Amino acid sequence: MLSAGAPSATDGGAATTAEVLRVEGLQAGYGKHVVLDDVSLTVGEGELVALLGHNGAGKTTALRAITGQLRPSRGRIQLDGRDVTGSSAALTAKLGMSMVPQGQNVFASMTIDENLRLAAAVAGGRPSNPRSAQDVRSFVLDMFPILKDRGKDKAGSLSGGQRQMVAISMALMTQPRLMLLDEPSTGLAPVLIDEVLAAVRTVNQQLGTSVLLVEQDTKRVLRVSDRVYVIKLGVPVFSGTPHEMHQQDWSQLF
Amino acid sequence: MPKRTRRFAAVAVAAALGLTACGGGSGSGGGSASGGNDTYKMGVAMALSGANAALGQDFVRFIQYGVDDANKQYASDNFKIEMVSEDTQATAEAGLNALNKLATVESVPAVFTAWSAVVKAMAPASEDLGVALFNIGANSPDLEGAGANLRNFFPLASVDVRAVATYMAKEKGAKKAAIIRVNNATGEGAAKVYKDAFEKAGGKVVATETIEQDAVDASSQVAKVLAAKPDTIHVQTLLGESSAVMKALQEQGAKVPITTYSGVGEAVAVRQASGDALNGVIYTTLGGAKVTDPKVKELVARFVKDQGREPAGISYDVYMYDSVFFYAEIIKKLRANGDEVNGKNILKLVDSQRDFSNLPLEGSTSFTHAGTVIKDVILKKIEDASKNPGEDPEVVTIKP
Amino acid sequence: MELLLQLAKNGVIIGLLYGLFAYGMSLIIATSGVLHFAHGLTLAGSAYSFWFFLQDQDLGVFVAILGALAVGGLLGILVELGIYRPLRRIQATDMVFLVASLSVLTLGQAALIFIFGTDPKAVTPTAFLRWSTDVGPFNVRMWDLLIIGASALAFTALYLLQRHTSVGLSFRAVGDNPHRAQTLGIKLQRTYVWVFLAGSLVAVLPGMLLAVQNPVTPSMGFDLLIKAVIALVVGGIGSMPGALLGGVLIGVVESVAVYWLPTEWSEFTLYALLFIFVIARPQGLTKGALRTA
Repeated sequence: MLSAGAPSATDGGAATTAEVLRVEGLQAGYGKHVVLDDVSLTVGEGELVALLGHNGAGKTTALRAITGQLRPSRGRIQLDGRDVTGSSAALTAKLGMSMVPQGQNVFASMTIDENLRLAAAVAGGRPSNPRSAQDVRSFVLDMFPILKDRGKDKAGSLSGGQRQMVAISMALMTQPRLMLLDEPSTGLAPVLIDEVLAAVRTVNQQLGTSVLLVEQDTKRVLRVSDRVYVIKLGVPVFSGTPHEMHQQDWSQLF
Repeated sequence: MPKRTRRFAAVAVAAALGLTACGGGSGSGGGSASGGNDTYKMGVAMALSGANAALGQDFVRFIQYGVDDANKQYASDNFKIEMVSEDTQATAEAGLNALNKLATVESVPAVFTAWSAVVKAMAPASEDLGVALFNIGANSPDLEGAGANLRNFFPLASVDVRAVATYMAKEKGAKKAAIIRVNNATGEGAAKVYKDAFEKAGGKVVATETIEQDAVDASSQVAKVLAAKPDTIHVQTLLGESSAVMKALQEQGAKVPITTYSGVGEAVAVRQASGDALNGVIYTTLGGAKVTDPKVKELVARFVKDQGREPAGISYDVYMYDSVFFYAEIIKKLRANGDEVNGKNILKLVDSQRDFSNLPLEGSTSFTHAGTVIKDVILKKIEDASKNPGEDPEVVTIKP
Repeated sequence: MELLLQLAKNGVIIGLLYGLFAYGMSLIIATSGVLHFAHGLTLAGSAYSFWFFLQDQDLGVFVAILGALAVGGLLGILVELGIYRPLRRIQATDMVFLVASLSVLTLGQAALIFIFGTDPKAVTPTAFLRWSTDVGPFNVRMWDLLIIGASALAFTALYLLQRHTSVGLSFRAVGDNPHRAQTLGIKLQRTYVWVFLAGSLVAVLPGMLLAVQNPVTPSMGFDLLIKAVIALVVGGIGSMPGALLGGVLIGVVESVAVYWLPTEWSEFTLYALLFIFVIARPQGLTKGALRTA
């Protein structure tokens, strides 16, 4: 299942397994200010790929450009082989990208149960969905029992870690082809970060959901990822397996 | 007179639709008393934009009919009347501007206007400007004596309210009366007239309750009024809230005689909305020209032919038309006496002559010492609200 | 005492009417963040349509109800598409939305005057509508029952909609966190159209109920709008139960206060109530969940 020998960020070589996401030469920014330049990456079927980099390296910009919240100024984005460059956020969501944004990523005034039902309803009726909404729901509730116990509580009453679980669960309820997580560790205690990252890995392995994970916490992320990309000041500086990453001089990368 | 001064004035669009918003035109000066074919300006200030524009624009059209016809009738007297109109938007502020423009720029000797708030605002200013001010369409009782240069050609509400209050106390033996009135100056003034007249006739007003214009529910007011156990109830409201009052009276089982005035009793919308809640209600009308009068019918037919629709307020339009002949008669007399046609002389003539019998529709009119007109008051009873008001039987005619 | 009870009952009824009108506004503001003053136009427009189809064209009550719903719903959607959507595109401030909304209301009133004239229009009440009976100390009218029925219908329908349908859940989600809703794949523009439709349809109910009780006037929307805004502030802006609660509260206060005070003070009591809430409890009875547009 793991795609050993996946293509590097720059050579554009064919992947040995089906690619869910393929990004080539992505350039994006705000106004004339280019934040991200010539970034290429792929996420294979069932892969958990991490995009690492310092604060301000352009990671969130990359996610926004990929999911259509920001129009890229150059480059190409393909989802399951279909060109989605410049598509709206609503369209990329419909085609199977589900992003878990940083920060306020649950509907605080709605109950946990309603958050999940809404997410399921949004993606409802997509013919490509392999599982019934009920199956995904059982899976999610088994993985995060707290969501079952507190289903009638307002999502706003939850702790930061629990909110991340709800947010991830919402993304899963849409049965995405690719889940994109924007720094899920933000604001969490270390023990909770481990818990959340472990949950992401579990989802990835048990549901086979492909994941693109953006993070700062390099050490923890390397433990759960199949492959990593590192960008620095908007430019790609490394791509490879966690093993290869450990052999690098990190001071050059960050 | 519908007043919507509380409302947002939807001025812009209505102004664009205004036909005669800008008066003016040529014409000789206002006051030459010499012979020859002279033209005299007739200052007209009406709501030509805003919520009341539909009414005001029709007023101006009927005045124009009057001008056309009077000029034919008085052709042998060698003078002509020319109408100069300005927009009051039915508000005091715009009304004052209109008056100023008519008096100073157009130099008219007399201004004819309507809407109680407008007339009240103009009354003191007309004195300063030296023009005669004629109210030809407002009926608020407090317009009586509102200014030295104001004469009320239009009968004020006090005429009929006073008559019905006296009638209920003296002829019907009512000892206790209650009033439900609209919460504005017109309602307040009428309630005061009713109370004064009823108590002067030996009765007592035991409750006065108010209702907001266009209010949708009157059950609180009616409940309070009924709790005072009156022998008769007088309703002095405008259009929107009237049916709520009548329905509440019916629902709460009011058994005593209910009186009101023609603005409620004859209004089609009130009759439709109230249904049988209005049956049995007595209302006042004024003697004089009626919609059924052949001359009025003829005038309405002319309007329908020109405009393709019924006029908005025919009971007012009658006075609009007649006012031109009233003005023409004054001019004729002043010319005959060799007096200049100016504000001062016009007022002097009205006060000395008092009776004018040359009005084509109303026939005649008579001014009191207080500068108001007197009319016969006819009480009518609504037996079936679904019928035309013309079919309501008369109860009694009260002579002034 | 009997009078006081009667006044309280009248207050609840008229309060439900205010609440119904405020309810639609509340739904719209909670989702879109727009204080939709033009809701008053929706009310007046649907009342005129109801009168037009029923009284003027004599097409029967069924057609009249459908016609009023169609016109009311269409007015809401048109204002959203024609006014608010372009404003949102240029990221106009709340103040611009407010002024635009008020302008639509006043222009709409002028249009109603242009189309129908200033004279009030009335629906002839049928025997069914005139029915009333005494229950204990209360006089109960058919109109009272219709208002209670319409309120129950609207409140139940919207409650179920907002909890058990995807469109209703998306209303709340967009109101709560539009950015997150978008990343989840909810189309904001489409949701706004739906919420303006739903809120406007709710306003058609008080529009028709008013039309059968009182003559229809061009200013009727503005009159009710003031009551509705007070109800929203008192109930908590953006809170759905708050709109209902606020409506009933001001209806009862307006009606019952005149038991002790002269009737001309009834509107004054409302402004006093508004003032007290603005000073002492600006969040309203229920904690409003208003977000800025």
